[in-house]
Amino acid sequence: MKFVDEFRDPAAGRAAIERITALAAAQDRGFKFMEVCGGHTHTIYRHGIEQLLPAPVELVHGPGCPVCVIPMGRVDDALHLAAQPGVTLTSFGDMMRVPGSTSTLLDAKAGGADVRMVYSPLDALAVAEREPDRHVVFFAVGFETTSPSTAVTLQRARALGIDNFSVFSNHVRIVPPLRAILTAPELDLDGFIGPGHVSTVIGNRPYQFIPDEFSIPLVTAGFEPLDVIQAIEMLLRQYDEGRCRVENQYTRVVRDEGNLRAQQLLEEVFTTRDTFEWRGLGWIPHSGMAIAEPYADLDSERRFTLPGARVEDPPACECGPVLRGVLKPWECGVFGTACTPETPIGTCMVSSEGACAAYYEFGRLRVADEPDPLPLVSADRARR
Amino acid sequence: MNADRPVRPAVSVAAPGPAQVCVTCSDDGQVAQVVEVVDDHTVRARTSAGVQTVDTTLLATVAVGDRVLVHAGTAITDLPPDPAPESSP
Repeated sequence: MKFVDEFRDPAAGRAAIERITALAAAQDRGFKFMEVCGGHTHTIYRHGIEQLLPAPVELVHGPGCPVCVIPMGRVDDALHLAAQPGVTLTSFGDMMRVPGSTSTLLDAKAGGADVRMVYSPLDALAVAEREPDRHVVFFAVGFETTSPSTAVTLQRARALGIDNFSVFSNHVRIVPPLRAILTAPELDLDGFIGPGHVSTVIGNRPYQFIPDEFSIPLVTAGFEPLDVIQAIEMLLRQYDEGRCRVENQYTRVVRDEGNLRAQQLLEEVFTTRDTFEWRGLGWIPHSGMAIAEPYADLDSERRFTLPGARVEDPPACECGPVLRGVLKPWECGVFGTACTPETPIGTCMVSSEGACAAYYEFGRLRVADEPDPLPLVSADRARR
Repeated sequence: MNADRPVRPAVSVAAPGPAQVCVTCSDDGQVAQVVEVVDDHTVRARTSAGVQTVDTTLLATVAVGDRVLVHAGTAITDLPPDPAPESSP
């Protein structure tokens, strides 16, 4: 199958790993690269890329899973909305299972609240159109891959004159957390594997500050295993050749300028919040997207009074350090024991793009003679 | 929500549920091939999961046979004509 077979070709993969090994050896130092996107995290674990890389090349997992970075207080706000009389709360599937401080949206649904899963904000708008006696709230999360769809929906709601619909916006931008990570003292990164699909919208130019101000490279990458491996090779080759810049491995999809129509619509429909709370990363300036004034009547935060409480993560949960890339999933004390995909304590275990869920699903399946990276999980459970 | 509010601790936080790949965690992208143009902002397009309605407001032009990348029901970019099934993940 074109564009699958060649990007999963074992021989090509082995050859690329050999080149990576040689490039790293020539530099005689270690490299720590962060993959920004949760899709990359999933690919890395699913295809065992970490195990193929030479010891000097370490991958750390960044904050690119949109479900994982939502703080518990925002989930509590969604639960509050779901409890309002006459309100139907709509949400993507994974958000239904993310724990708030006392329960989840699934719990609320089981308790009688009208909570429905949708695949698109446009589906939520269709519910509002069909059921004019309900007020339909869409619990919006996601980076610049998803916010365009929400923007299209708000524009459509305005055009159709639908007023029993609003959006609880938790959309975030990808660039501000990259800057926050780079200015944090605990991570000493040597490069980023840039997000493939976010970059189809915003393009590659917003990343230019990374080589300019922090002197490390970024390579935007696709989601097949050889995409990720080639991006790692491109990062190392920049070191080998004394370059430091933004490069695009995913040229078959990403254009440097991005999608200008989408960018224009995002500017029209959203406004940048002064600051927004990220799970694990704290408050990051200019990282959140609120609904702009011309669409204020479609903004759930203005139509309803929300608790707006800040909620501390459970003491046992170490999603924060995992999201900052300073802790591997299996180093968390509750990973694979109290915290599993069936009973997640933290958000990183909810979404398949979360580092903990991805590692739980794929990373435990290692050959018998390799050291067990997960001593807390029995062999029987690891084989499930 | 603001930074000055006091932080309160969470209590019980277990969310029982089936282990599953994410239905959509909002960063799932799907490649789709247009099979019918419905109106100036809507098409029917074939994905690995079947034919579905896709909004194309963010694309300049779209025609039957075009391949697009879809996130949350909206096409966010067009793709080269080869049948490339990129998806994330």
